[in-house]
Amino acid sequence: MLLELKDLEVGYSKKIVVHGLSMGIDQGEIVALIGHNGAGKTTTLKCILGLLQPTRGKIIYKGGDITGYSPADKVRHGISFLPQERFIFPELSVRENLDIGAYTVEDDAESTIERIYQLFPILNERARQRSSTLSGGERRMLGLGMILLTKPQLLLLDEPSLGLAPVLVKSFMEMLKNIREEFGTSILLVEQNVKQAMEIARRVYVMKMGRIILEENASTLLQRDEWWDLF
Amino acid sequence: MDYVIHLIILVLLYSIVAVSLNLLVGYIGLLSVGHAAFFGIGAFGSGLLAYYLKVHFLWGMLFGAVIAILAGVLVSIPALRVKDEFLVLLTIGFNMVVFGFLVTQQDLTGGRWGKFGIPVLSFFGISLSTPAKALPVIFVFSAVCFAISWRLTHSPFGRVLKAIRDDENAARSLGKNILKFKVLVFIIGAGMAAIAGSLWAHYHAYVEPRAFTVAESMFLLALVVIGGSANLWGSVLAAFLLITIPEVLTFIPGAETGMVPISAVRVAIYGALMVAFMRFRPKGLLPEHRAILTKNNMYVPIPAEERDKILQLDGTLSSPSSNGNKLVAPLQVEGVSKYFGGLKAVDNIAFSLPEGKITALIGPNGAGKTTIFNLITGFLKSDGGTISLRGLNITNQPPHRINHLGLVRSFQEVRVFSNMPVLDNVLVACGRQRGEQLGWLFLRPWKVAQDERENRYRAMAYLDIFGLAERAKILASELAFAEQKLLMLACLLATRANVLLIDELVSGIDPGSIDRVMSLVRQLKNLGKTICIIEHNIDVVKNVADMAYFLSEGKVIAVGTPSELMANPELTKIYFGV
Amino acid sequence: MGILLAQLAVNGVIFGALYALLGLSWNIIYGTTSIFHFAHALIFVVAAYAAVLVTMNIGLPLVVGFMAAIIAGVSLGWVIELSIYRPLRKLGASQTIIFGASLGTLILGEAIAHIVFKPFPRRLLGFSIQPINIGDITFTTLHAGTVILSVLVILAVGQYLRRTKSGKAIRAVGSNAEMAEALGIRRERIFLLVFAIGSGVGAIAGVLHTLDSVANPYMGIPLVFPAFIVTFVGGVGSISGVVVGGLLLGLAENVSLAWLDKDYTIMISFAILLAVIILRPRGLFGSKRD
Repeated sequence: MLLELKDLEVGYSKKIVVHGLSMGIDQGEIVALIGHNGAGKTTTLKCILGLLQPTRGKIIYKGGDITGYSPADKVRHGISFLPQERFIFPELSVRENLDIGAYTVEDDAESTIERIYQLFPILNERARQRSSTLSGGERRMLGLGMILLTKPQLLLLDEPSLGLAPVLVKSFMEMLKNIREEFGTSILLVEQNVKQAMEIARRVYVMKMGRIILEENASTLLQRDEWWDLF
Repeated sequence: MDYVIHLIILVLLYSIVAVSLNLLVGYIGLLSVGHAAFFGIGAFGSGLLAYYLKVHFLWGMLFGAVIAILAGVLVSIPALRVKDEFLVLLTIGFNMVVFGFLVTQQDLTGGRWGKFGIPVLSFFGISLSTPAKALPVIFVFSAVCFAISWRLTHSPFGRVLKAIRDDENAARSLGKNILKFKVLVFIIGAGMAAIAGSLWAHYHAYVEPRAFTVAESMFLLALVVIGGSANLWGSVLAAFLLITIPEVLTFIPGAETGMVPISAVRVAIYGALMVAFMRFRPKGLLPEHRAILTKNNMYVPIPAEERDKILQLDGTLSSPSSNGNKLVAPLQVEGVSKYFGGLKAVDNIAFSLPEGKITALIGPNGAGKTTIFNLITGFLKSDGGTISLRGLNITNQPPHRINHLGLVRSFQEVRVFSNMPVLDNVLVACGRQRGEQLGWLFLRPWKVAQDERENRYRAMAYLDIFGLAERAKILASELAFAEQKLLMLACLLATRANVLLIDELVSGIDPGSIDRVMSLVRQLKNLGKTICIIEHNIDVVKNVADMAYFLSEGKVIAVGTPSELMANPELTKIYFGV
Repeated sequence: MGILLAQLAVNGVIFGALYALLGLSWNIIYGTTSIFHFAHALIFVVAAYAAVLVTMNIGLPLVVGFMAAIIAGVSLGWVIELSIYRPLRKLGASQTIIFGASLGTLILGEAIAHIVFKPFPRRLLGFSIQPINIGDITFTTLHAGTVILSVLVILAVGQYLRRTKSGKAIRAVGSNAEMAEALGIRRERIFLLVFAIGSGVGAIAGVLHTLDSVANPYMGIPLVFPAFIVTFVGGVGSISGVVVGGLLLGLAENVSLAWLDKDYTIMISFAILLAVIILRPRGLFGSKRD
């Protein structure tokens, strides 16, 4: 198991958002986490990265307990997170955004950024423009490019298809599959667009009111009908 | 002996000014670092008028207070609309401008060196030229100012102030005209500081600009903060301690020789105290007082029949939303849009709420649901379209006015007034009260007290319905999260509004409490309310909603009963992609 | 009149350069950390007295005085951040409480300066001040030096923020602290870095001001207020803003002297601040932040 969450409990001030959550991801796996708004999916991702501290439970990564680690440390251990919104630096240019992404890259950030330009040619075109001028889809690409630069072994993505046109979503998901194939990256994908998520995921966790209510293989889950009941 | 009395007088005068600043800082949360300017305006206005026109000091005091109030109104216009950082700069700048004015207008004010020969305090011809003679007059003024401040803060008016400070938007949504309250407190604070200034001038028989610098304003702020914001006695205590203790220090041997500059030591002490308090005891010496008009017997739960009577009475009361033509929908939205830059958050939306039913707004993330609530309740300006409440056009009206017309909302994040007891939270919601108006508050206090009794009775009834009657006395911040949600619903009920918009009914609530919340919402429906909820938990929607609108990307895609919508494969595709 | 205006304009540029430097020193701290660091006023005092002690009391060259000032300024900045702001942040203190602590620190610091250094003004010598005449306009070598040094420092900091890894990290934290952390930037370290830069630049400004004036324990507030104005007029987080804001303030204050008495200068600055607050709250070059 690359990542294991054990009995995680997370809350903000009075509100407990995630209760007794246990789940796991294997090396090179794509796992989807689905559920209604407010089910606690974003909170779970933020907790894994360390932007929120759990009140109970453990996070085990590559066999070691990383529960108390700061986000900066977790990034250096190979965990990366793309938030749902506010994931770029609007006042900085596209290239400068990528430079920040490459912050933890020791040497040869230049060629690493080149590879991102190959993945997302549009970013190369707009390299000098302020990133606030990018469209929604372009911003998502920039965001993904930035966190790919951290050379993650575990990618945490929070609704990456939000606001993207359907045709873009498809190519985006294809890209995630390619990243997994080429780099062996594991991906934990939070999505509301259930179908797209399950087409690239191997396993799915369903969350409701802060708890996991179902764990199944994506292919099996796709056969189901009662979506509304799950949410 | 004269020296001791002089100290007491200084303490009294600084107490008034500190209390007046506490009204701003502690009760509305306006961080003013320029309050000494009003002190100075009162002192110079009063002193100079009496000096030049040879009038009694009371005329001077009136004049000084009027100028201070006018200045207060002018400053409040920008000050109340800007964020905290700007407010700090504005008030400092204002202080500097007033100081600059006093220094530059040499002919009028005596410039940097001030003006001597200000007429001394006098009454009925007797000149009160010694501290002992001046003390009674100054004491009376101080006591009156303190009493007025006390009345202001320990009253329904004061309750609204604390609510505004705790959560401005929640207070707005409960019908409070924020701007009016802030301006009133600002000018009362300014006027009161001016009165103290006038006493200062006529007691010393001398005014100089140096007593009213930004450094003085910082001292005043320190008094409020150390004494305890929102605690009037705290400000008095701080004034006492920070004026008398440094004086005591002057008696230490060595002070005379000037080895250690006493004035600087004084300042060092209160600076150090301020840092220490902020770091270790931000609440100050005396913590904020809890409840208004604490009479413990007011927290006693009321019997069920009484409670039901109150609810029935509520049902018969008229408000535009319940009073109007029953053939017109309680809420109608037509062609409403909202653009954020290039993004169409809400796109030409039209829907209406059926009478006395629970309607749900569902749809994927970013569909614009909360934006619609914000548009309806006046928290956002719409870019076109009409919103009508029982036929009354409420488009782009301010939130507090929409509340008065009988429409109220809750927020996604639970917003309760954390530093107030549960009962007080509900009381704030209990509509426009006479006690919130200064005229009634000071001129007919018995009526206010009577209203208050009735309101408390009502508030206990509402708490009872939601099972919070036992918790009436505790601070809202100490409630469990689910209870806070219920408190919020109780506040909605207390407004007697007929149309309720509830944003995220059960999010964050533990599964065990969900049933309770759902049955309470159904009870609200039984009372005749028209309810609209935004909800992502499909179980709750199926259980509670009579009808639902499905929204996606700012448009209404479909309408029907929850089961109809969920059976629709098109919608399933939009929501889930399958 | 034309000559008077030209002279005043030149004065305005000279003042503007110092204001820009002052603004930069505060802007970089506020823009990155969002702390209303009122106590920044103490940096100027500490820097001035460090320079005075080293140059006047001990007798070392002015350059050494400058270095002592910078060391003193940065040290004080770090002490304040580490002993006051950081512990309060860890406690989750509100902005108001942090502001109150900053204000208290300023009050305490000025009083300590008064006690330790005595309130008598101290002069700082060591720079040969000669008049320079260009046509009918005059200024001094010190003024020229101030402008040149200010330009150099602002350029240097600007380039640093643009080109270096840590400079970009500073801008990232100022722009979106959470995302910066998610990309591996350690926020607390960046905070220390900007306190160092801001205090260092502030120290330089403090010494430059003292060379043209005197050092006294209460010199902090009259210097920090223009720093605030320049920051908000120019725009939080903007170097161009600091330059334009500084020049604007300097020119407005000086050119107005053709018509107004110098005691009215404060009203000019207040008017500019008011205009910005009402008409363009984000400042001339600032970005729309929520």
